[in-house]
Amino acid sequence: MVRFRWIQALVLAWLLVLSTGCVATVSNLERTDAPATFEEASYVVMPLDVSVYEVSAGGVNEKMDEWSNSAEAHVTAALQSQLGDVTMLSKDDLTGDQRVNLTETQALYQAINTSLIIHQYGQPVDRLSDNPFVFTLGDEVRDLNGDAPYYLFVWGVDFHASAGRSAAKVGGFILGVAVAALTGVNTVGVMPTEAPTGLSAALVDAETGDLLWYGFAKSETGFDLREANSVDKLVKQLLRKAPLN
Amino acid sequence: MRTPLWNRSSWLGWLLVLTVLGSGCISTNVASFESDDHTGLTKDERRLWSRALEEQELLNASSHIFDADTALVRYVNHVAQRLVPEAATGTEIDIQVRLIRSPYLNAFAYPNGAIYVHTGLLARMENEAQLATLLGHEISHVLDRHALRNVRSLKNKSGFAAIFSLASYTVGGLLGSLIGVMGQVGAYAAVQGYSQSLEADADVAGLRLMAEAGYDPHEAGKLFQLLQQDLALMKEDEPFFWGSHPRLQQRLQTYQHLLNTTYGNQQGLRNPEPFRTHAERLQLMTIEQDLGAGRNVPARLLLEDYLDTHPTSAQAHYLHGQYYRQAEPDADSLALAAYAEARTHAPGFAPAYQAAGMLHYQAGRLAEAEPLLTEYLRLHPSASDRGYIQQYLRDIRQQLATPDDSR
Repeated sequence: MVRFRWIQALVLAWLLVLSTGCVATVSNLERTDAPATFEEASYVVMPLDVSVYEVSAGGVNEKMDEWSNSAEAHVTAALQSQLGDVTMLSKDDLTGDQRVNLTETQALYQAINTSLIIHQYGQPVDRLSDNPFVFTLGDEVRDLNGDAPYYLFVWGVDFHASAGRSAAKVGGFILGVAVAALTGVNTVGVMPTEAPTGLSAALVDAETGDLLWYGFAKSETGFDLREANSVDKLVKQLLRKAPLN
Repeated sequence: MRTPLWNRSSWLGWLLVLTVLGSGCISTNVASFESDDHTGLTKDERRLWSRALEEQELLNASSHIFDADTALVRYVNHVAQRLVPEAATGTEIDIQVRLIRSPYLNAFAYPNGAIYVHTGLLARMENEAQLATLLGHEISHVLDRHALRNVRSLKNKSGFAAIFSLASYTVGGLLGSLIGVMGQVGAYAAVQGYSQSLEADADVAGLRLMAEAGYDPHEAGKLFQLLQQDLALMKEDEPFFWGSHPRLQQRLQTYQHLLNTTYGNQQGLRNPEPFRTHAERLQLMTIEQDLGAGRNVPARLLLEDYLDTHPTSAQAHYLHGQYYRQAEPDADSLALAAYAEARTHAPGFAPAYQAAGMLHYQAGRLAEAEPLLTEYLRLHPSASDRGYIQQYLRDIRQQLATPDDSR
């Protein structure tokens, strides 16, 4: 009887995981001295930084160029659809020095993302509310483009299990259920799941590099940056509270 | 209660292990670019090259990279091209060497053929044959696609480790725990061993490339002696954990064995002169960087070598003085003597006046400091520290003008 309850619980848990809908957790942070809204002509979208990784059976992440390029194209299309006639730069629009500057700036933005995400989702979860929102990419960003007073940086990341990892996860689950049925000991959940899908955007002062608004959308399941519809929904959720006109 | 090895739950574990091992493994046995079996880049290799190119773009834009259009860089690339075997020409790889301004003894190769050599290593070599040894080693990593093999090996072994962990949950008990430990540690040890194995392969293949290009293989061992000497000095100077690393000793023994057997009687080019002509300029820069990095003993050794062959170099005597000031706190008189020697050989060499003047000033010998600092500003009117020196001179002159008993 005990074993039967275990199986019921495990199957229910699995169904719950599968049925998690396409709703992302979205967070927004805004500097108190930032403009209330940013007009379309006042900002340019900087070249996107979108990476999609395959996670091997042993947990090694490998960036997949084909998936990343496809994801970048979907995010570009979704942003164009959401933001209207805004200028979107690509790396081809930049000089050699500007590309190096962009790569370093994007690396710094990634670090800021990590910091914000840890403080937003780590413990204690309300840590950010105790601190002013003061992050900057440095005034080097002014050399990236001289045409607009603000930049919009967008960063996205997604992880997908390799066939070997998927097999191990499914096998592990089946095995766990079987062992639970035979012994009554829960062994399910040995192999961790992949990191969530994440998409962030930041409005940045083009002179100072200060972040004026930051938005982050993440989802454990239900989103896939390789799928156009999925990306469109995630971008909509990300920009829902963005101060963009 | 002990868990039998083949009970109902454990066989499920072993079945899972076998299934996933069968489905997830990637071959690390890839054909060399030299081989007729090479049929182009694999998908995962292209991804690896993309990552390498991203890193190279940043590296090449860095101010630490030597301008590619210098005689030295062209010379190093000329030596590299001599080593590339005929069979590898026309393949996807493009062997290009760049130099990194750094005092450390290091070099590395990207899978697409981009090789980076730290100038500190070049500055300590004696001839072209030693350079060919280093480049042959790095080119072998590229030709034999070691980066791809490394990544595939890492993915396979991490997969094994994960599966072993999973299996250990099902086998249970002491045996399960043991398998878990063996899976993780065993895989880790294998990764380490594999890496050493690739280095050993590159040593052997690199030696073959340099010998086939006509260089004296007996110079190869000397390069590794240089590395070993530097590690020994760093242990004394900077006690890093790898100061007593055993790998270098093993590699030296492998070289020695090959030199005693395969290349026993083979002689070849050493080309010390063209090497010295091109690489000598790196030595003073490296000494300065060594001192800046606190690598005092390596700096002193390189300095002594340099002064043996360039006894009238003002820059070298000046750096000798800097060494004494930095490494031997009670050796002010030696530092002052070195600065004086520098001024003797080059009366217009401004830094030797500034350094000696400041040393006197800090020791309170104001009368000795004043003419040296004055001369420094005369020789170098646009010095970046001009404002500070002027302030020191005002202070010195004010104190010298005051009678002794009222100071």
